Amino acid sequence: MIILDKVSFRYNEKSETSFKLKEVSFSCPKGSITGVIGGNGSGKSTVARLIAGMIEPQTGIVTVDGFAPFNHTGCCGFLAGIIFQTPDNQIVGTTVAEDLAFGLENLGVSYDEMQVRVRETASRFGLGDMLATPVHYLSGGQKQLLCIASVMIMQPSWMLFDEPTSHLDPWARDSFWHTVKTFAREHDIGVMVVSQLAEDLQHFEQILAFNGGSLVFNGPIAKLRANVEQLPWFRIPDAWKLEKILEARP
Amino acid sequence: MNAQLELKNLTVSYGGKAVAENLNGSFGFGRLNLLVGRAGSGKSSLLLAIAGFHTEFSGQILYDGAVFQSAGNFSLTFQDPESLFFNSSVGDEVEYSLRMRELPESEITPRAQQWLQRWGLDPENFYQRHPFELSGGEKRRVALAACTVAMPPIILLDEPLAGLDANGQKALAEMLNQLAYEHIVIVVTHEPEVFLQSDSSVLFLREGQGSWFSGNEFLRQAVHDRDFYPLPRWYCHAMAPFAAAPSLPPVNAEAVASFIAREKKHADQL
Repeated sequence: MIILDKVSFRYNEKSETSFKLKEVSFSCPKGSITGVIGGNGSGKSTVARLIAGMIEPQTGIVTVDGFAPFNHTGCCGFLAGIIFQTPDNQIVGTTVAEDLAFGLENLGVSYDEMQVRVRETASRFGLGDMLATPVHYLSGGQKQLLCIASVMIMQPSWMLFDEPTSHLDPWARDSFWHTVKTFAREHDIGVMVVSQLAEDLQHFEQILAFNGGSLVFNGPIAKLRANVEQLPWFRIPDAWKLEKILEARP
Repeated sequence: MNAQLELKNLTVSYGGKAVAENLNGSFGFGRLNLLVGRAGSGKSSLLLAIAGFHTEFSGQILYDGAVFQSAGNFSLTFQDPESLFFNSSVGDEVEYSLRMRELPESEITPRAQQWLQRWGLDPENFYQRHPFELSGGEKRRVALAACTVAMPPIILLDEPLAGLDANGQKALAEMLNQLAYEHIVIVVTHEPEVFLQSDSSVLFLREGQGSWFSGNEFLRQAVHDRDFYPLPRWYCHAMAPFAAAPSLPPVNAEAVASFIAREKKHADQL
């Protein structure tokens, strides 16, 4: 369970995100895929960073499975692994195998087990025949898959994705969702996806929506859809719009 | 403007391996030229080859019938162009390329301001601001304005929509459509549906080959066959009964709804 209780945060220096997160509270149980939505600069990425423990809330409390993620990362690693938008910022190895092994090395996993897990994970993500490939030979989409694989290999209890599909080609988007859903089903893992692609909405069961640094909607996707008229900040996906227009016709 | 950017028997390789073989065709004015394909299919390499940064190719790239001299005649924006900001104000960022081209000092600022205005950014409000203070959509527009202000004939864009929210994507797509009347605009994209008009031109790279489609042909094939190209599911679903229609609507709810209404009316009359 992820819990945020009256959490606020603002960045001090002029940065990419010089805005304020205002007293956000919600709880999010494991077992369904939660979508975090909102426009550019709405605060959704900041929430993901707070949960991953990369930044500390200025007021309020963040807990993941009962622990404070910011303190936890200092001693025992991630409670919630995070995948960023830009894969280049997250790749540390010089080859695919090295990048996959990096997290495990830091967790002190034995060499033999590391080999097995690297191979197993690589093949699950379609990178099996690229283990020795230098990472700069990979395309953008392949790099993103590698980032996902490199976090998944550490088996965190939560996975956060910060706009994971924005750099993928549409085939890879389909297979990304397939992978994530299979992973969420087969492992005891919570999945939270930050996204602003309307096409991704169909994959979410629960929605947290942000606007201007505030949480403005928290509930199942069906409820969002039923109340969509009262949510002026929300850009209705074309799929919903079309159904609505067609239903209205005699 | 009738000049075209033409590919003649062009084979682009990467690391000794041909990624796109024997491309023949042309990119023109007046419509967006879309370049689509899977990750690793050679889209970016082709873009870089046109720009002259990637030299591992054989065959010819011609502009207006002569070999294309890329230096000074193109602008290229990379993925996430805003990560390349290096000036402390929006104005300096946009003026930079004019300054590098040694334009008279008196022309630089007016031209940069005029250009920002065209990209929908009011210079009075934006000129002195730090690029990092802007929203994602605004940053993207500043980056594209800075890349295009020198008005080169060829504009190459590598995934200009990635990372933008839906409103930003739509607004940007409209601006790029305008740009296509004065420049040859080639756009690498994973969201062709945002741009696709029936007269768009699509170069689809797959399995080392390139095929050219009109927007309409591309939509039709994709509606038939998700393996060909995965367009948004709602669109394929809505269009499936109309596969025989001569021209398909663009991928947005309003256009699709009025298309269906027209087709129904037509069927009723028969």
